Amino acid sequence: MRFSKYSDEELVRYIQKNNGQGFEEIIERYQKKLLRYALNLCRDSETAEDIVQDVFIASYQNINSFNVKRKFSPWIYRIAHNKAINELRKIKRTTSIDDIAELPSSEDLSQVEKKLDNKRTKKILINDIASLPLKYQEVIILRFFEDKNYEEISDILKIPRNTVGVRIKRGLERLRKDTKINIKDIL
Amino acid sequence: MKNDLKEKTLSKIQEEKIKIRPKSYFIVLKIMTYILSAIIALAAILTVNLTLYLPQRTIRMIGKAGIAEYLTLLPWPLLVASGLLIGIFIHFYKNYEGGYKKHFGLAAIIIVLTIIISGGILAASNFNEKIESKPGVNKLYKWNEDNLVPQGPRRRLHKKMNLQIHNYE
Repeated sequence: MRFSKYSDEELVRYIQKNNGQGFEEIIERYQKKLLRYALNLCRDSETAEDIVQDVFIASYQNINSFNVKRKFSPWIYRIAHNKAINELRKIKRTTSIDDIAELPSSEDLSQVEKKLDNKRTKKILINDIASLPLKYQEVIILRFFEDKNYEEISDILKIPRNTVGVRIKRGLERLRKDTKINIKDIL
Repeated sequence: MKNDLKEKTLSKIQEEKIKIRPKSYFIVLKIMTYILSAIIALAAILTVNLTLYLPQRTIRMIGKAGIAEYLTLLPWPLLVASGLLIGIFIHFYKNYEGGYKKHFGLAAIIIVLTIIISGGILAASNFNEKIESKPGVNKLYKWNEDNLVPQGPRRRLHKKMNLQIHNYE
């Protein structure tokens, strides 16, 4: 518990100076968030777990490449994004609603997840988001399911901030047309 | 699931003896990326320079020629190489820290124009005349245009020019 008062960036600085000591705290802080992110993209729990494990190993190996003057969250989400996209290219993307995995715990829900009235509605929404082109999926999931702001999404996806706004707008327009759920008060 | 994943990850790091890469590794990588980008930018400028200069050189030997003749004398492999090098440089720019934050389309246009203008300035200067007689480099300037021109209606014109070039040399 000695690291609980450190910010992410202070913790990483400690890890860099102490040859990896303290890295388990990074795993503690990010495993649920990254698992949720990977699940929302891949919709398969085994794949999501493999991705998140690879993300932590890659971030451990490359921890010295992180600039502590910047924010840590977009850096690790960027690694997760790249791993998830590589995996998506390999796996078949169509999944039935009932096969979409759920995180067992209901802690750390995003603002959107708190508004959704039941798990089935959430699965339908995730499935409908999954039918959008990838460039819209990424921004919608990061904005509404990971509660990232435009600046953070820009850093994660390495696209200009304005492009983030445009893609969210266009993605939501398409989603509103295609989905059977009333998302007016949700997204 | 929660503790399993943490335990699995930490044991994998231990079992496979995964090491943290040292800071020097990333510093060297960064320096090499900057050097490579500079080399590619320079190569792009020199290639554009040659692309623009070689047709001018040939036309000077045969006398006057119009835009149509100039276009058919453009060394197409060099034009393609210029495009590729510019594309690679733009790709490097996009991936460098902060490159994506700026308006990418505008940045790409500026990069392309800068390289073409720099190549054009070199082609218009006496740079090529100074180096084309140097050993090793002179073969580059004495390319046989027959290998570079397209087939078709301009073929006779280029055969005629080739004869004249051989007579000149």
